[in-house]
Amino acid sequence: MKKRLTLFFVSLFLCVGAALAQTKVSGTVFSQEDGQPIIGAAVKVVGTSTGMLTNVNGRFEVALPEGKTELEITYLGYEGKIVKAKNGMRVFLKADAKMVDEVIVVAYGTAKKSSFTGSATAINSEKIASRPVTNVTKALDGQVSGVTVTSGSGQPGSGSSIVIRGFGSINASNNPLYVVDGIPYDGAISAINPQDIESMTVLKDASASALYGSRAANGVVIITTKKGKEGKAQVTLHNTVGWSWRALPKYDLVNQEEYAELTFESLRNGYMYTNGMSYADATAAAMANMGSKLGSELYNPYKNYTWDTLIDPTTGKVKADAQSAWNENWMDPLYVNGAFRHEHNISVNGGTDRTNYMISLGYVNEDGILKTTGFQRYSARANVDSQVTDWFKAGLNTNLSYTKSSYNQYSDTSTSNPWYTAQFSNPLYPLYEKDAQGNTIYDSFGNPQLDYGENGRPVAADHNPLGGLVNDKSWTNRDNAGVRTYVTFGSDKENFGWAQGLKFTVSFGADYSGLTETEMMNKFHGNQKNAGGLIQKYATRDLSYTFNQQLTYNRKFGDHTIGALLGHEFYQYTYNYLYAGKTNIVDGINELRPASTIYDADSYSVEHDIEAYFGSLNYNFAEKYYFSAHLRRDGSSRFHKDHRWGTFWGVGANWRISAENFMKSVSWVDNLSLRASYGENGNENLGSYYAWQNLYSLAYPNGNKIGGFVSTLENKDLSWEKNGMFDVALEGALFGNKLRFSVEYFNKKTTDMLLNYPMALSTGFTGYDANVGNMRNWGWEFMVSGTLLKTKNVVWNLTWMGTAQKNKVLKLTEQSNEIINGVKIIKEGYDINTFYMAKSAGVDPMTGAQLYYAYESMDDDGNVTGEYITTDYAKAATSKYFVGKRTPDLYGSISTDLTLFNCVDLSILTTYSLGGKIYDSLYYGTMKPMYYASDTWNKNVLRRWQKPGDITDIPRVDVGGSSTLTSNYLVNASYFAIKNITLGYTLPTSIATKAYLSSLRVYASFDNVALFTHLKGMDPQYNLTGGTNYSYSPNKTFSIGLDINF
Amino acid sequence: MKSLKYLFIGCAATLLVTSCAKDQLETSPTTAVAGTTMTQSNDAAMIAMNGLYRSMYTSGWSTTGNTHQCFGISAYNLMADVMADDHIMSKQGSGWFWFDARYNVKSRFSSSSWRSYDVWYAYFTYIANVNYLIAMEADLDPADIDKMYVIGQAYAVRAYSYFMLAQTFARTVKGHESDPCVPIYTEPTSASTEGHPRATIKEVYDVINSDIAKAVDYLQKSQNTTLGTDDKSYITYPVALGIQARIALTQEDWATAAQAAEAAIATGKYAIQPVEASTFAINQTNFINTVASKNVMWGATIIADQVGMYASLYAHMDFEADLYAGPSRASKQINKDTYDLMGANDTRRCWWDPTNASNGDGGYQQEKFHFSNLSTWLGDYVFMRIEEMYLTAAEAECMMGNDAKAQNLLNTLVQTRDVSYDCSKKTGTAMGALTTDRTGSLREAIIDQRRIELWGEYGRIYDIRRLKQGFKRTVEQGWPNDPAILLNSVHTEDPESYAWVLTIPQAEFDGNENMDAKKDQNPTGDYPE
Repeated sequence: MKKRLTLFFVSLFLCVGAALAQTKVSGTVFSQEDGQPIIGAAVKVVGTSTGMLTNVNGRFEVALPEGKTELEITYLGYEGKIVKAKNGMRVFLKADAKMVDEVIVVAYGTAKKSSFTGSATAINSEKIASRPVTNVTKALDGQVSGVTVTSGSGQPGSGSSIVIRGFGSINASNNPLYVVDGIPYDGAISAINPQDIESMTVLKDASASALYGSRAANGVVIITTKKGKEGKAQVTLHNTVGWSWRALPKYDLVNQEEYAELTFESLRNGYMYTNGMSYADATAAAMANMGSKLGSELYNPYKNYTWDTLIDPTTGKVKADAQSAWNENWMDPLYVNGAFRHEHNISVNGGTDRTNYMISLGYVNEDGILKTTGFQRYSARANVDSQVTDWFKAGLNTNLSYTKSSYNQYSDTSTSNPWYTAQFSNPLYPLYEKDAQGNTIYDSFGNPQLDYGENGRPVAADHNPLGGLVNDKSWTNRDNAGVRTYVTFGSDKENFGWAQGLKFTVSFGADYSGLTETEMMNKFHGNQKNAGGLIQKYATRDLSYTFNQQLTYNRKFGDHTIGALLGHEFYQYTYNYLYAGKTNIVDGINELRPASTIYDADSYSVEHDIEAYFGSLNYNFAEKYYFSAHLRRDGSSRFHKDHRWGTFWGVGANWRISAENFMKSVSWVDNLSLRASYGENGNENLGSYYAWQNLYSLAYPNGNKIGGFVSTLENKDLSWEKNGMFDVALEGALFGNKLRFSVEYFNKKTTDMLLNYPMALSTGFTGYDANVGNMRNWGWEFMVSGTLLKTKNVVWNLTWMGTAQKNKVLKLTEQSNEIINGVKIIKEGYDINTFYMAKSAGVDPMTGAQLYYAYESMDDDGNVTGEYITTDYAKAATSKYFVGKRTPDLYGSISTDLTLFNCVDLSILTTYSLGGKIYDSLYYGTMKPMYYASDTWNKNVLRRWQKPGDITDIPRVDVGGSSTLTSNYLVNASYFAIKNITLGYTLPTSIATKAYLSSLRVYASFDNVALFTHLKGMDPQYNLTGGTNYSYSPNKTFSIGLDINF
Repeated sequence: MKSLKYLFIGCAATLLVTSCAKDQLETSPTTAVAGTTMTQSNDAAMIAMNGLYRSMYTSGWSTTGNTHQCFGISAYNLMADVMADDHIMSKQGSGWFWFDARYNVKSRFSSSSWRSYDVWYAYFTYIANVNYLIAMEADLDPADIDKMYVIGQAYAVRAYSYFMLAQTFARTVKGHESDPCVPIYTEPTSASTEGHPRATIKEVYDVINSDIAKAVDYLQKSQNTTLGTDDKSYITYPVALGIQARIALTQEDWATAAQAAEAAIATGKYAIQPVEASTFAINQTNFINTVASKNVMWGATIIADQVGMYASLYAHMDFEADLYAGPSRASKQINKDTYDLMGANDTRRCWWDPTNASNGDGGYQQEKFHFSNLSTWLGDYVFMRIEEMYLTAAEAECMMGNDAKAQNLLNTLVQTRDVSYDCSKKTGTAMGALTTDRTGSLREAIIDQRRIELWGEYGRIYDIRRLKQGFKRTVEQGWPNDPAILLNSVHTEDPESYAWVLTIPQAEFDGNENMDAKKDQNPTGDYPE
């Protein structure tokens, strides 16, 4: 990026002077830092207008007119030098600390980081490349302050969710807008090859994102792909191989003995405390009923005892001489340990002074850590830009990719979801079929027979997790195509007179994604056995395009630089869905045709349009004072025509203190700038495209008659949610750029919040969409980055990022200041992710009953009156307390990189999050099981109450018993994670050159190395709202890579 | 050169202008239609009625959790059946209906996946749907019998919905008229509609009685409608009479009950269907799974692409299908004492199998409910059949002292099942304090036949409640020897208990300013504190 800009500037200054016959001098320009040749440095003969640029080897050859002996050599980011001309000379340029400036991609253009008036953070391709990720969103974690990222599923190809500067909305989307090469992107992020990405910029404040006003309320992630660079073609080969394992440890679950004992104890407790039996009677009844809960004797691993004699009634323990015939974990055989991943990319880029190009091909193949899952991507991209004439430039950027994903089609608590059934299976039951003696049964080929529970297993009917994964198939094929094209008229050249700097650009971008999906449920076992199997096919088509016209004017008058933009944009998204299913399939043919019986068929389509007019104005005086203003007016098809249009705007200013004269003498300050901005953006992403309308769903045909069922209530007033954000930041670089820092404060207020206004359930509606309420997110972000050591052979950098942010719901509806939703409450004055749960008052030492705090009334600040302790779960259910929130107090990352002898590099990225709580429902499910036989216990249950006098915090076991969930199952969400360690070796240039290579680097990368949490097994980054689910566990990957440039 | 430049710019400007067509931002869904179109014509209104009927046998909309036990009217009837004494669940199985059967759902009112939320929201959604159609009554032309037909059905649905809500969320009407019941809404819901407070049982029944009377009147007058009455999912005139009979029976309004039930029989549209063992077998069509049968008054025809699969009645009932009911799962059995109420030659004996190997010490395996075609998940739902009308009429006549009429009605029905049946000697109305206490009265004989004939269909607990009887489950009857399912700690012997009065979902209190969880919730235990 830096070099490209240089070329541009230099080409402006350069005029080829009339050459007279003179002496020729040749030489090479190097960087003093690393001894690398500098490409494109300007070499000018002092006192003339003669000059040229160095070539790819840093070489130049210049003709010296009579009497001229000095050359001036300049290059952006380096201190210029005037040297005596000498043939075969070697010139070393020193990096200019004050000049180093990052150019970042921002809305509708680029900007220098130090002069930008908004808040934006760029992540360059090196940082992305260091993570062996298939989906680029997973590389964002820890890179940008103010951004929270989920761990993402372990399913290969899947991505992470991102929230920028807190939750801005309750019912509308909190996702940022993704923009790829200037055009909003609706395609699958997994379709983009991370290797094609030059940079990602996260726009955080309202001023930076105002030009995307309509959909920028939650911030913007701009992805820019690589472009061609002028010069001889460069070929880059990138190859990695890697192996993955489960990243999170498993939950600590009970073993066979403990499981049997807890089952017995729970039965006995139930009979005693719920049914009022005596201890002796309850013990007898519990023993007698073991079999009815745990299934036939075939499933009893203790072959020397039957279920009803297994427990010693005096101790409640499994009899000491009971011998278990098997101990088979259901989940372990489902993992692929060291799931293989390999990736290969080749790209070619080059160009002339008028046209440049980049072409890349990529392939990645990643196996999942869950058997049968995987992901493959074939991608190709071509970017071409051409300055056709002085006043006409055109470009085309196109990418094609094909992805194939095999996945597990079951989720949540469906029996076939292994993350539920197998991960939390009862330890008594075998995976493989057993005979009466407990020996595994083998088929005629010597393979162990899978147990589908047909012989009286009371849970997971006709299911075997291993068989389920193999027998049922589900995969998607996705074809992606994207195009970005533009034509620009106008020029920055002086000979265009009044029109200098005036340009008109028309751009068009489209993203197409065609998906076909197959889900097959087999005909031999499980759900669809009676129907002879089920095959379902889905075909969806996503097409979005943005058509955009811009008039820009950029010109410099002395110290005054102005930039103006006027534009119009039209965006359309269409989605088509087609589905059909048939039962009674032919085994081995995963198509509809041979299946005999139609099961269902469906199709529908969706359209979404946005039209916008926008303008912006930028001004800077002497590279010291920068101002910008943006205005955008958007109309969305989601709203009624009277409330469709919203106006969004932003203003920003930046004062480069270090450019002031009075700072010139302060030599240790390289750069210092203070910037502030304010703006308002909009959010319309409600989920529904037709939310304001009163609608009857037509998904209710009654037999062969068309049927409509009321689905939504009308609210014509529904309109844009608005997000106003104030941002102020101080950024600087000190001591020769050895210390870089930024401190930033933001205050974001959401008004006219899109909210599903809750109604009394008895009105027949759960609620309707309306603009109600306000919410505020505010906080501090900081970044300190230091070069701790910098010598000829060692460079060591350390960066610490942190964010401390808060959220507060300011206003809800006129009628009510709270919305209770499960274990959470949204309430005025509180964080949006506040937990509102009953509170445990311990365990009654006499009965082991859960004790709760209850109260007569509570005020809005959470102060209670008439508090008392009770065992009544119903009282507890209506006596909830504010017991914490998910939002962490401080989160961020610490990263370091070390370079030795210009050839060995080591980087470590760690992330941390302090404070906040998570309700781990997976953990709760194993602390308070709902069903005998199907649910298991966490080892923490072993410290439960067992007999009168026990003092503990875990109540007596009572499977399926009536209780109210308490805050005891909230877990501290703090964590520390080592996200990545990369060690690389770059071949010294001298050796590489001999091998005709520009560069060669080998490296090893270890991703998701370790995670330290408060509860073993819990994923603290499962989501950002404080929950967990039975989902594909994230993985850790070790990979080795080889990058070659020639 | 210059001219070329202007040409380019001109072209681009044209592109700019053409892209902003004014109506480009108007979009409409392809899966739904605007609400206003539904009341524009009688045909359109029938689309709304059809959608409503479909929802009565579809899962997934009333709650998104536990959908396999929430599939409309049949699910609620099954729930009410397993809550009583005749319908045994042999095991917990996958847990569906088990929590109903062991009275362990009331505490789950704060969840949107359990009975409180599901039943409450489902019936109130029916009410909200029909309130839009009932609003059409304001400009009803008495000659417009098509419109009258639509509005008549809408009234019947509202009456039925409030009736079911009243039976579920309050104790029985008789003797508890001033107890709190459910909120009443008779106007179309809009975004500005506020939640109403709980009305008394009497106020709710006033609405029910008025609605069903209007329904009967409108549907009688509109029998010649052009909108079609052959679809048995529709509430037609005889079905409205049937609903009116049920409502009147519960209120002990014997005259209305008898008159409505007899009028339904008198329409002559339906006839008692004999029971034949050969049809009550797997993959056979019988009148429990086939709405087309001549005895079926109201039900839902299930077609191939509208099957509920696991979320269907037969998934829970069909033993041979081995889905949720099967040898090692929650098979459904009849109480052995109830089975023994049948005569030795009663053809309905084929509905249960005392010899099924998996019965063990339990009750007798049910064979009454089967998929009509297991491989395609087919099996219709029956909501009302003519046999019930005979039983209702008989009971009402008996209660009015018209024993001969009652005996005749009962004999007419039962003799089609057991030729030797004769109740002519029986008289009287006495019922035991517990359902196991026998009195030998004529009314008891009628109730016995309801228990046999309507087993699994009608929600036995509703009968027990209106009869103000208690019951006790025993191991001898065939119940599992598990104190939890034997309900040892539930006061089922006391008809005044709140044990079977469901709690109101927390979501109602959260969205309704006029209902307070601390004051307006039903007792979570058997009795108020």
